[in-house]
Amino acid sequence: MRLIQGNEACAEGAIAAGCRFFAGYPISPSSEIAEAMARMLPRHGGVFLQAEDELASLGAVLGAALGGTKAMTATSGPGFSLMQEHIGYGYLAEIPCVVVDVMRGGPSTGLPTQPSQGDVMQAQWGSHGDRAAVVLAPVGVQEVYDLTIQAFGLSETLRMPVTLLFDEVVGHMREGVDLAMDDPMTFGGRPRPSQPAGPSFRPYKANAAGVAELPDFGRGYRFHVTGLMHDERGFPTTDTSVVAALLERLENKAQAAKELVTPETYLMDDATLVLVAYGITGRTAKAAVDALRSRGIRAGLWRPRLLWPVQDEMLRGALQNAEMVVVAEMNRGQWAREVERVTTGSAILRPLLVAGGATITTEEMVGHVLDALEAPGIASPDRVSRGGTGPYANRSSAGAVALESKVVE
Amino acid sequence: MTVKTIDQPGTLVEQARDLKEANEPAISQGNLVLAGVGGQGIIMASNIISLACLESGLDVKKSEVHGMSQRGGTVVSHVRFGHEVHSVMLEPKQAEWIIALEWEEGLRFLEYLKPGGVAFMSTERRIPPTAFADRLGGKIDYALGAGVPRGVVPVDTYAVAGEAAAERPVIAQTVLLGALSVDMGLSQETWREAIAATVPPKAVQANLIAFENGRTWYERWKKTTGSKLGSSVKANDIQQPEGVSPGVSLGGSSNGPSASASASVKDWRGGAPRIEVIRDWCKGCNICVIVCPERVLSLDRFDIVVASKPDRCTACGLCARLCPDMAIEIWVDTPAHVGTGGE
Amino acid sequence: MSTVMDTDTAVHGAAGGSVAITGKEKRLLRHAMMPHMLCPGCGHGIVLDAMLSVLSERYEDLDNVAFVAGIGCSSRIIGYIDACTLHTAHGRPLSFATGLKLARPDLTVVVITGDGDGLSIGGNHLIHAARRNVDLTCVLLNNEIYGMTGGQAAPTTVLGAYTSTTPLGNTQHPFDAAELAKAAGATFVARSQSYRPQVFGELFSQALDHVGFSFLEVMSDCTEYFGRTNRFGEGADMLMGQARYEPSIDADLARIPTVEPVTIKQPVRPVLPIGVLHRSSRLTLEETLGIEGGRSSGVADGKLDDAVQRMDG
Repeated sequence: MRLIQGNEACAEGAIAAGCRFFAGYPISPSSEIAEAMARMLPRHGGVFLQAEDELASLGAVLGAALGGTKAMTATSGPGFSLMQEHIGYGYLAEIPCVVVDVMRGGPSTGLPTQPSQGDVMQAQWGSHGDRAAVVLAPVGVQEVYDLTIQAFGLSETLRMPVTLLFDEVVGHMREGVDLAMDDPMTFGGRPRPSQPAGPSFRPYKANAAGVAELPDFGRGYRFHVTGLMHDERGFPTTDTSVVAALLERLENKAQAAKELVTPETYLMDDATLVLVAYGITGRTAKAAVDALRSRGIRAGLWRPRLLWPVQDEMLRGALQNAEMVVVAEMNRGQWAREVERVTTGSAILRPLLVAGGATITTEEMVGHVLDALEAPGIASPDRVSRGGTGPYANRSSAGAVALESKVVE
Repeated sequence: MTVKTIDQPGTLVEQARDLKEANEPAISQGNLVLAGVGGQGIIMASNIISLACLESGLDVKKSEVHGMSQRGGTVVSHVRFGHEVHSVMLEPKQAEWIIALEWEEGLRFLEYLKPGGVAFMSTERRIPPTAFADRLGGKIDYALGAGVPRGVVPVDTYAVAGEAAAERPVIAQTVLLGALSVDMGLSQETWREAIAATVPPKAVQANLIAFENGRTWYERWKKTTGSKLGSSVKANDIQQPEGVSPGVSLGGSSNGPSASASASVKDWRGGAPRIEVIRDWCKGCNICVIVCPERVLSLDRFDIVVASKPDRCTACGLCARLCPDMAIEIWVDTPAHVGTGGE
Repeated sequence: MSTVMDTDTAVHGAAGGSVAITGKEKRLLRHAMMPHMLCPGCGHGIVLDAMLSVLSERYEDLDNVAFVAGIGCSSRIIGYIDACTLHTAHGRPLSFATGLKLARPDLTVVVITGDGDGLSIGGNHLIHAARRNVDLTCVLLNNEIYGMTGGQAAPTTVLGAYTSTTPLGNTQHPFDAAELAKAAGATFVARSQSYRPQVFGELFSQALDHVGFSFLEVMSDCTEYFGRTNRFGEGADMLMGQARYEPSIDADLARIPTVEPVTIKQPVRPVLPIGVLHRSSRLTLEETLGIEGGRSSGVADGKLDDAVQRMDG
């Protein structure tokens, strides 16, 4: 057990997962990851490269990955914006790598360095075109370590960039961490070609899991890798059916992450009021559940570790008996949209959205819930959006009254 | 300038006596090969030598080969002088001196050097497009940058020329002539007159300085490096142009595994080359039609290249090298005895 | 077409046969992809052929040579080379190549880029790759225009030249790519042209041999856009027009003056020196990182421990 920082735990996890190449550009609040990698990689026979910008960072990471190395980069919002094109490239060309985004307030240079969860939608939709992202969100330092290892496992197995998304608080928080990983090789690792080299070799012919079995460069196979739409041979094509099939395959293979990452559930068995929160907000939400329970409200927590692709079925199942759902996140409403999309039935949505650089406290959460239930309680500060004029402004308050009576009785 | 001929025997006798008195060898006959790349001043240099010989009362014959010079190709000139010269062309191992304005071209013609002869070779390097081959090999078939062979005096012509080199590149020739004049023995005044009569008026002064510098440099070289090594020079004595590390083998890698094949081709002097066009690849850009020195190619009514006069082809390979579509290949038939030489 | 596959067999049988004087390089082509997509008369095809000629002399196959390219006409040529080829994002090939080379120093990594790709959108990566002296061979095909997007002005387009985005003549000064690379710290800088493929071959050969960042600019013609718009003639005219450059492999050619137009109404293409323009020697990135055979050995001498202790106070 060691007392380390979230960013350090990320580097430790990467090394434990076998990462041997890191390229990055300094940016708060992620810089400690690069600094830690600069110290650790040489000890493990790896290479650390400080690049000229974030484009170069992820470019070098993809190049190293194609050479056969597990590789990672880390950044924050502004750098994450610059990396979007390469994330799309890695996705289409099926090159595994891990991209860490330690979120700070945005848009633009925004809030260096106050916490935020504002890059959630960008992590999925930041790159142009249709793309299925795999995005993990750890709640604390131990989970940063564990999920970094898991990110490498997913990335290698699925041959795609995987994003690790956490915020400034998690990145800079220090906790006791158990660095002994059960088995870093839980996942099957990077698929290698099952076909022999030669003129008929098809690098982008998918295996049963829908993953291309690309060889590493310089291992006896000669093949083409491109960011253009390509056929199984890897050569550019504009054949609409081939392109459509490719997009479909890539999207489908990413869905496997849903089965491999489990959400945290807390007192969900009989919960009629479900708090949905992730990352640092998930911790507060857990305390809020306890506080609400002590007031007789049957609250529960559903905390996704996998933000993308959304585990629709699991979430839908978890919310099946919910009468009110509160999504708490440090932005103007991003993952709440996904919850709204998934929610069926009569559950009332009351998102708790805080953007501006502050974290959400337990008191705010409890107050928000009590407000929503129109019960007397702690008044929420002004900076807490209760829906206001946003997309969640007008869910029936009559329903809320009804819910209150149900919950209270 | 008056041109003296062998019809004035007194001049020769006087000249010979003068030379003898100056304790220099009397030159009565000799052979030179001058080589370089188009535009370097080969022809001008051989004109100066010829004029100097004529001025000294000797008969001179001079040949020039510079058909490809407008494309930066090889230029070579043979100069023979003596009391009476009949044949103009030299055979290998006949030249007392070789003047090379380009290093690789010097190596190419080194076979003409007589045992004990001296080759003054500029260390400047320019690979002309057509000297890539001997027009049959398809590649440089001589040893590139393989040290300094026996009998070669490497001269960094620009360094030796000093300030006069501001008028480069044509000044390099005069540096080598200055060095040659030490061994060839004609009077300095004759050389100077020949230079003044040949080079453009505004370049006379610079050329005379370059001549003098070349002469001084070689006299000193003979006393130092030359006396140490006799007529052979070690590879690391070569004076490289600034910025080039010694021992860098210029394109040595070009002598790849197929060198034996091209050598076989070189040995063989018969048969007609065959031009093969991949019609599916040709886009009809017309480049090959324009660049072919022998006008072998033309476009057909589909705008695809065809060899309309294949018998003219010399297999220089220019069309294939400059075809953007890689649509042309040149093949030559080989005689039976060459067959085992391939890889 | 059927003869193509046999071209690496130089001599057939003891009973005599045919020798291919040209075409041996074709064994390194991806024949299934030919003919290539370049326009008639495009200089890039000549460069591709010349490059393969050099490689065919050096390698039996290109298993251990990786080509990394960006976006544009120039970068597309790697698709025709039977090697490990990586067609990256616009302007970024040097980034990918740096990562690949550091992870796999056993590979020979050649970067193919263009004037827009390498000097405009990727200019930052170029100067930093040169600064780091990473052991890459970077070939920049300069056709003075954006060809693939339809003939817009590039950072190499000369003042006054007409392009689709400079209908009144180009108003911006061009880069001298070689000088830029040299100033940024490239340890081998040369310029060549499509007109003299043999000169290119020699320079490319030297660039491959050079340990450190080698930068080879190749002047190549865009016939369809640059040539047509500026009335420089057809492919053959443009190619022969390249005779204006003075070729020399090793000479100090930096003194050739650049001709500047008086006004932008008179586009003047400068006469650029051809040959090795700069050569120097300093530690490569691989050496400073202590990479040996793909593994960093920078900790062997305890230097890192000292450094970390120092930082930790």
